[in-house]
Amino acid sequence: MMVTFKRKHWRLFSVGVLFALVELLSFLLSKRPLGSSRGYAVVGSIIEYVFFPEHAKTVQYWNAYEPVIEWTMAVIVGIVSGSMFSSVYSGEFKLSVVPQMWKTSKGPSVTKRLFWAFVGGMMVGFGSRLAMGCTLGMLISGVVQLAPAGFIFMMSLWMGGMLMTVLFYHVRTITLHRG
Amino acid sequence: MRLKDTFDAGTIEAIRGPASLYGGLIVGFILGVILQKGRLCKFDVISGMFRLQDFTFWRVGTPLLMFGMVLIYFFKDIGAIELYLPKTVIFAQLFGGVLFGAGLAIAGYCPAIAAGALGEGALDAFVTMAGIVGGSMLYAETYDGSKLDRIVSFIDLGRVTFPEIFLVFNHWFFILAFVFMCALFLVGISMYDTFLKASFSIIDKVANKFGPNKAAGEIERRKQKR
Repeated sequence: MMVTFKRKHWRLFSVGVLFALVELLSFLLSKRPLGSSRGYAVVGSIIEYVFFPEHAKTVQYWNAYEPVIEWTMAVIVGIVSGSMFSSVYSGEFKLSVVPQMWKTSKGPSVTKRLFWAFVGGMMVGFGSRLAMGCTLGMLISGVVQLAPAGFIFMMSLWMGGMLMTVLFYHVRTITLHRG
Repeated sequence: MRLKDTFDAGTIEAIRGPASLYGGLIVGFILGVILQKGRLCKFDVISGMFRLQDFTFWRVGTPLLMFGMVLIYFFKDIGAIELYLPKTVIFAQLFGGVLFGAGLAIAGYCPAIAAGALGEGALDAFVTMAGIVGGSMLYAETYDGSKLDRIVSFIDLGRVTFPEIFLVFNHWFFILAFVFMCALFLVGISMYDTFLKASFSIIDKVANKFGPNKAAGEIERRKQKR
């Protein structure tokens, strides 16, 4: 058992099957599919309610997101702790700021990386609210339940990602060492 | 409103029962271990997927969707669970997905992966998480009184599934077709990914022998005219 957790990687096929079992466990245990981006929206509503209480009451969108600690935030905390446990146990934990592939194509500057990480995060947050779900809550949970929403989201995500990769990185770099 | 008011009275009871926070913590912990062991929470893997150099996500995602679909519908048919469908609004998912993918290509972390990457020690993932919160707040501010509201409800099909739209009397036909296509796709993509990995390691060895940058183990080369 412990030897399994010592290993750095598992086989990709078995990882996929285990992921499907986790999706099923979430249905059985909590009676809802996995999802994480709602938790970020609730954090945003908590911030607004704490710092600008008068303004937040006038925002129509926060009616659906009460500023209360809820399930998806627990999932996010669980993901952070689980990943930390796994990486520390197998000796993979390493503090880093600039990823290797970014260094090869955009340079080693830390501020540039953090700026673009924030801008990309803003786009991810805005897009996930517009589409009403992220990769976990919309793509995986939607496709698994045969909802058209998941399939549409999958295709448009792939289109947007490819387009932005060609425009932003100019795709000149091949990184031979894989993570 | 104070910060401590965000815990309502029901939260304390909800922590104990498996239906709410406690269950979410368990599911999230297992998910975090799985994401880390599948080496999914890395910038290089997501960016490599969009550069068509690293197919880890596809090799994990295909069995996930196959087995997940079969398991969910089997357990639904025996009555153990109920479906919890997302709303299908075509324009919202189209534009939202394109924006989401563009952000994913730049930042390299989607909401769940960012949490996993933070647990692995990538500090830029924390900045991305802050950005996701900021993006959600920006959406909430621009939501009412704008065109967004109309885009969001343009073609609203409601909470439907494919078998209901096409009036197929049994959903197992759809599942069978999907699983069959996924199995073929999985075999192909696994073979191609293994081939890419082997050829990259050969190029790496040759480049280390003759190339100028021995330490990095990486070469940067301009794309020639096709």
